[in-house]
Amino acid sequence: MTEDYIESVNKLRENFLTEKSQKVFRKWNKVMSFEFSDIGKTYHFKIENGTPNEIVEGEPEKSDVKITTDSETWVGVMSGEIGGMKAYTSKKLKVKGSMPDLLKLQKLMK
Amino acid sequence: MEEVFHLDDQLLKQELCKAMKELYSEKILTDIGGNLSFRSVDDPDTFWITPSGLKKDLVEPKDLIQMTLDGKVVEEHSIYSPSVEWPMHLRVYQEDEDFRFIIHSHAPLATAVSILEDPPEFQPFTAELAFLVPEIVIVPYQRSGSKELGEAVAEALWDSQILILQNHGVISISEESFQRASIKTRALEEYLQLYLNAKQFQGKLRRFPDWD
Repeated sequence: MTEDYIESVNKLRENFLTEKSQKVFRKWNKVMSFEFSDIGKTYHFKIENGTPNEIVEGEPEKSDVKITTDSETWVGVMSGEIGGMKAYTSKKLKVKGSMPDLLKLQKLMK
Repeated sequence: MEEVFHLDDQLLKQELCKAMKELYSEKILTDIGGNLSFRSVDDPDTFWITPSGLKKDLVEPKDLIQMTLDGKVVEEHSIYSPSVEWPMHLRVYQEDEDFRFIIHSHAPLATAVSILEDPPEFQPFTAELAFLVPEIVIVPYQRSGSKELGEAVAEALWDSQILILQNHGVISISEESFQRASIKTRALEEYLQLYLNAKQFQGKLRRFPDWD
């Protein structure tokens, strides 16, 4: 499971690297963090001009987008087994961030 | 026997003409302003665009002109020429294969904003409008029909797929349908009308609380 949920964070991170994402997010300088409440761990990565840095364990100083969920839900969402919107409306996944950022991020959560 | 729905160019040509008539009746398209196009589903390396010089509500499917993605008219025997804005449409389709529907209009309020020397900073006001028009982006002026206008649009459309063109009009791009592109164009007008209405009360405008 440990590898699965980190792999799923990495999958989202790598989604920033497609040609299309690089255009969509080219002006992004933000930090995304992921808090896994079931195991008490947080990971984050910084995005600089649309390009994500490596994943780091721990809470960042400031987070622009914060996803709080349990590791199983997260793996399910990123593998497509659980719909992102369903996880959100059933409160299994919480997202904190500005609406424009979240609207843009929707496209990467697939 | 169950009939299978099949999306083809003929159907999309009808959709285009329907959208064009609706937008013309709403005065979002005018006699001299606006053009529509879609990426062909039968041959995705081409697109269909409205002709130049034909009154907007008179355009029929037979009048549309097919062009290749390197800017050539497929059948030269049409009595009409493609809209002069074809380089802008072409450049959008070249930018990404998912872009499929374009409405270029001279929507009155957005076009009024396009000629302001120093436009106000618009804020999102309501959830629906914020969702449809997350950001009002104004593309710097380039001459109508020029390649440079296409380049400027291609650069800005990654920020928003509904754009105001300085001293010109509006372009709305959709990956889904003409209906979606029309809705975004109308939402932009509604957004600006709401701004004007609220300004008449002379109070401070309240930003949409869930935005940040």
